[in-house]
Amino acid sequence: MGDTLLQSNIFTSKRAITKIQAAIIVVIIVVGAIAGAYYYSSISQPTVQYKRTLIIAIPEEPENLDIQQVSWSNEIHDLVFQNTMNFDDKMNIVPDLATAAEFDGTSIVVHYSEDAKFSNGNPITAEALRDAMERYRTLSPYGSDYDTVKEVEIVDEHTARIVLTQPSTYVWLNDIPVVYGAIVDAKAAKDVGDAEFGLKPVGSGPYKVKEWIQGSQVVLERNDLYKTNLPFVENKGPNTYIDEVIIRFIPEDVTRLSEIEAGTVDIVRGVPVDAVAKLKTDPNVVMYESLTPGVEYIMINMKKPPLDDVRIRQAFNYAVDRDEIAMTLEGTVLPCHVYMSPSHLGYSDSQEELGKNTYPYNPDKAKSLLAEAGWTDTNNDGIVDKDGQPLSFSLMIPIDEPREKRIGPLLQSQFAKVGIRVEIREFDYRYIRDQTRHWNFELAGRFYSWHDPAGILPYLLHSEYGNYTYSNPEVDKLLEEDFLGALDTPAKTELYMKLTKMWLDDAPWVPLFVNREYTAVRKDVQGLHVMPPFATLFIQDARVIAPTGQQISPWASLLMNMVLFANLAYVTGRKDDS
Amino acid sequence: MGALARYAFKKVLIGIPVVVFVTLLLFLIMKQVPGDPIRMIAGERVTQERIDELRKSWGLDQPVYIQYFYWFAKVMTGDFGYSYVTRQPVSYLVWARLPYTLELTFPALVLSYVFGVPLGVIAALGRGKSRDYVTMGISSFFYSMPTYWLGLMLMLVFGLYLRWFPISGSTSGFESLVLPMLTFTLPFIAFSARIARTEMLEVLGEDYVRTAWAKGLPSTRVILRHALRNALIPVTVMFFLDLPWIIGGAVIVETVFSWPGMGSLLYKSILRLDYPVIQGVVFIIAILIVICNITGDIVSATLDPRIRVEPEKA
Repeated sequence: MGDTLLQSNIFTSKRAITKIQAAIIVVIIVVGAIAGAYYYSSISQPTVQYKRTLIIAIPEEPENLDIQQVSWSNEIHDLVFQNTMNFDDKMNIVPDLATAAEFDGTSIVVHYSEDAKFSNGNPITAEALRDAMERYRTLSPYGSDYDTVKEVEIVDEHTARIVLTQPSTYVWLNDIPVVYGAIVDAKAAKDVGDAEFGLKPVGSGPYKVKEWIQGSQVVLERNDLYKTNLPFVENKGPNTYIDEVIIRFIPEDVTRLSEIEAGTVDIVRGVPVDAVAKLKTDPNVVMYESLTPGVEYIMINMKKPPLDDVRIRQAFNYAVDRDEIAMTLEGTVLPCHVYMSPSHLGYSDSQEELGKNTYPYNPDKAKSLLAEAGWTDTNNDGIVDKDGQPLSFSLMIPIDEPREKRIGPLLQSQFAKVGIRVEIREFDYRYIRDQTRHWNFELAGRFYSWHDPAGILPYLLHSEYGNYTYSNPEVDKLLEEDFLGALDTPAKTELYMKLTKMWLDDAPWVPLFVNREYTAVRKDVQGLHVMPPFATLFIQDARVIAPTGQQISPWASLLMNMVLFANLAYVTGRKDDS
Repeated sequence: MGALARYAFKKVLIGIPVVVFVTLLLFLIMKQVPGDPIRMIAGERVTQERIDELRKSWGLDQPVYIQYFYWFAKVMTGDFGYSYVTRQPVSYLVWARLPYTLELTFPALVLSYVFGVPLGVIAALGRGKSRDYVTMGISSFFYSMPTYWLGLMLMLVFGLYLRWFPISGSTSGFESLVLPMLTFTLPFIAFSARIARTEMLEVLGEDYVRTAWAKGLPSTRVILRHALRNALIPVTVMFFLDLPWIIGGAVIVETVFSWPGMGSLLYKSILRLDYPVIQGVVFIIAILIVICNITGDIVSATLDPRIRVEPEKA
């Protein structure tokens, strides 16, 4: 009895309480104090909190994660592999994995630092480079890139000399500074087999593959052995601010945009045309813009009469109003009259000037060219005809190229204005590419993207390499000069100026525009570099600031609520007593 | 039960040539599709010699019947070959997606039955009353709504604005399943409800139901035992016939929500002319169709004693 009295005195209550009640009260106070301390410490911390995971949404899943087994590379390859050299923002070739590399026209000497390592810890040596190049030659669809490579000499453990069969810039410009030419651990690939290596490849990039959930996402984790010599990144080692990069595959445009609006992804690639204007005004999003090194164009089947008549092909070029197209595409493209883009090596502004002067928008000129070729509108139906046949073609439009898909009807109406009837047929782009190669088409919407014209234009405009319908022996000869020859940039520029003139005269294509590629990035992501020519993401210096505001863990807030509730109940109980 | 087992066994035996025939037919049709798979995969900067080399290494230079024979012989040993595009084993690609497909379709199946049938019964019993109109109005709404639109609306409302569920993806466990599952299931519930209502109305007009009422049986007994049991037979059969199409046909839902199921795999493979993957997926769907048909037969036989599993001896 005396004990109870004592306790009741402590709590200054007139009524006695039991030991159990006392224990509960003590527990509540202690827990409350801890939770309170936790709460105040969490809101009084002034330092910036960083999110440890970067989430990137891309439209399409890669075929394979091994760069040597794919026909197109994506963001994952850029993070898992490391280019030997790289491009800076002026398209100069600068060191990346290699400390330096020298090119003298007939050979390339690559120097690695002594502690260069793959993400699995294996050393990167001259021998490793030779093995990787050998593997690329046999495995990659682009294996013929190394046709000009005679051998890889091992100068010493960390220096390799790539000896070329003839003077050629091909490997130096098309493999050394791009991800396709990045080194892979060929020994590791041999051990696990190519199929397994395709799921979990080993490179030397800033991140390595942790997990690939088919159809959904790839999770990358930091490669702590990463080292780079890139001059434009400050942090030359692993990025300690970002532990994981998740790359999600979200094919549906609306879904991808909703995710960035909600802030559930940090970076979105492949921003659709319709969304560009909206995202540019979104205060939470920063837009990066870059010109694609390539052109979107209509390919004309030159083997199919009457398209073999140059006047008709020229008429197409006069009939297209490229400014109207750019307007319809809300300024997300740059009107283009020629066969190369401003982001190309060897491009000069005088090219576009020449193109503009050769083919200004001029429907009357188009009509007179058609009339010259014998096509006039004799029956007044608005379509020109000859021998009772209307001038009518089918135009293949790729459904998976949103910009071309969108302007299909506009092209149709522009051609109709000069009296050419065009029927639109929509197909998957891969199918169109295949059909144009088999000359099984009339007009086809096409595009290309590659930074060195020598690495792409011969495949499109040379009569043998590409085997399309265009064939001009003089063009072939000039293309071969750069394809296999050693051209520095001024010589390249001069050569492509000559070629541009010939292409404009022959008009095998109707060039339309150059794409602007957009990358939408949440404002919280800082220190990101988006570099030409392919708008490659460099996240070495990136940090993701965690959302501001008081961040209390759900358990802490639950606990706090419980304490609050308990206190309230206790106080109310006391009141009733008195 | 012995009769049932024998019946099932016979059906399975018939099913085998069906599956073989389906794959053969598909193989022949695919080879008629214009377009060269190697060209489709390879980018622009690939020489013709390289293309020929690749074609040879995939065995595409062989005559069609030999290609089919090789494929079939390998499948018999459980080897579905390698995808042209991803260079991964087809079995790996399919097995990676199958769980997601089942996660999406199995609840759809169960829920459409569990909710659809009672809704249909309620509507039928209250024919011409407000509850009939309300149930049928709502189910018409969901049944006729394009999946694409329904999916986007659910995503915008519950994902973007209310933030109750993840907008897309498959990696947040059950939460990420909710929206795609709803998009997929709501039209099915509506469909089952409509069929259940029609069947129920038909059965309620039958003589034996009238007799049951006249006998003075309690209404629950009349409805559940006499009417519902018979009305369920067509619903059940329909159900099992639909099942395989559900598995292959969730492409839209999968695309909208970035859900890694088999539908999108099949769709993508067709666009890329990735023959081995198409063959693999269709093979599995063909097997599922056979299994579902057999199961459907057996279930309806147990529900309806008039359907005999064995023909009567003459």
